[in-house]
Amino acid sequence: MNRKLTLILAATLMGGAYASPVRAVEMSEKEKAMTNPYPNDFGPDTLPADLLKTYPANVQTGYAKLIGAKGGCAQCHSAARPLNSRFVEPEGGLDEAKQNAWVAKLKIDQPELFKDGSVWQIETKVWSRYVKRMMNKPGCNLQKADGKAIYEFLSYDSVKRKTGANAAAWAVHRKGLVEQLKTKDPKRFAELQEAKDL
Amino acid sequence: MSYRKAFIVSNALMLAAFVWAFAKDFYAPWRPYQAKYYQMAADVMEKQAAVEKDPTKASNLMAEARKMRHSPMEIKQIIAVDLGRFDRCVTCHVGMDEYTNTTLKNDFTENPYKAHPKVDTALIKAHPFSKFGCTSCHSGQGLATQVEPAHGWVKHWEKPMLKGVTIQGSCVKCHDNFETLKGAEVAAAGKKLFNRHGCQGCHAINGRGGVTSVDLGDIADKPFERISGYNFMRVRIDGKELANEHHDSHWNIQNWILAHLVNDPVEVTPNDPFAHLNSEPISPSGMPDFTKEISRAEADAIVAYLSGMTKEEVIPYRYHVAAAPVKEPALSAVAHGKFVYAKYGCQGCHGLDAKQGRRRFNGSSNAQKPYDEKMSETERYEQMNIGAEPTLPDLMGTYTHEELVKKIEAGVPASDATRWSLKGPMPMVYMPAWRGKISKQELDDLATWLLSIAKKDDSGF
Repeated sequence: MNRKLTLILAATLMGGAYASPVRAVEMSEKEKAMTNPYPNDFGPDTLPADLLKTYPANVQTGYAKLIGAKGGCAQCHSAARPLNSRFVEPEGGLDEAKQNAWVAKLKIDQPELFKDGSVWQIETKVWSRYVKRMMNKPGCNLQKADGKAIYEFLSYDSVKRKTGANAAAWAVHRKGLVEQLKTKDPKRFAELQEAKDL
Repeated sequence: MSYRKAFIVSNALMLAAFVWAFAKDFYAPWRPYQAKYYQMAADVMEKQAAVEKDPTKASNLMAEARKMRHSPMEIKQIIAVDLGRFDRCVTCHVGMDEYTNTTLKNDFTENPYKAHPKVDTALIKAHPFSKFGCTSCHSGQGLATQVEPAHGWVKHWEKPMLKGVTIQGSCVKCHDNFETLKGAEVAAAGKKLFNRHGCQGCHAINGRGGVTSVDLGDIADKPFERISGYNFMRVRIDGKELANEHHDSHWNIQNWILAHLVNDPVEVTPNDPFAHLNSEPISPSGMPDFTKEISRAEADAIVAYLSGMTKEEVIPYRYHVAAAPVKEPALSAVAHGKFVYAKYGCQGCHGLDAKQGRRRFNGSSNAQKPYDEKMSETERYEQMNIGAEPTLPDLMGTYTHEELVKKIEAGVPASDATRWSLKGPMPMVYMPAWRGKISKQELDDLATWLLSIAKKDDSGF
């Protein structure tokens, strides 16, 4: 009896040992991105419809591609990341000189926009570089035309929502997001602060 | 059995053991070699005596020949005290025993009778046998007196005799200046190749280099317990499998290193990418496939260089020869950046001159098909196997100088990089953080060069 019991127990344990290996939880790129959040990720991932209506048609197309294109941005992060970003690409189209002139004018008109890098990072061609960098990520299936449309939206939107008359509202919004990160993930906050990436 | 009978039987057994021991010694395999050497050497002396016109010299030669012919059979050994070597190689290689063959020269052409082929060179003059023994350069098992064990071609002897150019690895052990040393040209070429192909980007040597993979500063001491026999069985050298014999002359560290250069390393160390045997999938070797980049001769040179990477052998400091400090060339920022890229082994992952990112198993690449659960394991393996490190010119235009510097300083942990299959293994290689390892000037120049090779932007925005 004892022997039988021992055998049954041993078999059960061996079976359990064989069946027990637990695979680590597999994270999608999107989930992975959220394990290292930016303040941007705590904001909304869509724009209000009435604001969007005021944008030119080509810019609205870019927005649609940003939030919807399969094999695009949403593979790795939600649209909240670019929509709540501190990046502002100066007006002036693709002309760097015109962008620089716009920045020079802004420095006179709204000097406060250059004081807090965690709210505004005003930089020539910043969205152009970022969109291209993301498009170069393996597995990104965005075509050049899609990328261009997304870029046009992000650069237009960055000026529209973050500067001029909307600058104060943007500052409140952005500072609130930074504060949220500081409260919810102080370690990550400190990390980004040290890396000057807030 | 009575005590008396037991006593008689045990005496008989003891006698038999003695007889067996004497017989074994009498028929020791080194004896015929030594005997034949004495005969051959005596024959030569007698011939010389026969043609010698000076009767005194002829008589002396004949006396020498007689003495040689009747020399006692003995185990001969060199005791190299400083190096802790007790080498009995000269028991068979009598022509290299300075007590038997005082000139250390002879005309014999076959082993083990011939003299050391380089006896007249500066190399041997600088390394007298009495001081260095044999195995400090040749490796092998100095105390053994049978052919296979003495050459180290037996189980559990992990440092068999070095063959061919690999012996130059021994120069590396003491000569820090081996890169400019006459006679160590192959090992020097090996080091150049090691650095040229970016091995140091992942493999540090004594702490200098990347941390992605093992430090090779003691690779020559790597115990076989750390190499699975099954992995040796996958090795192909010159298209042939190694003999399936554990720890024999083929299963040695030289062939293990060579295996990584003349085979695709994922074949040598396949691991368990589909978690058939483990609870987690484990990526095959992260080492790139160098078979199309490195020739067999070049691979041998790298093996020779790495064969000198030992810490097990305690070599007195006075045996070490220091190298003169190497001055870095004075170059423009762009040229210096390219130099820095090669110096730190970036090409190990991002390819020679950054032209093409190398394989990153289960990393993502644009050449891959989208992941599909329905794919067979073979198809999935193929896709994972074409995962790649970034091809830098494609990306560089999307960074500013400052961003690039930051990126290189911070590195990219493996967990942050994209994977083709989320169910597949974590890639073995990752971008290490170079902060603190690379000077500010080097970093700036590297970023300058990288930005200079950015692909022309044709995106239209």
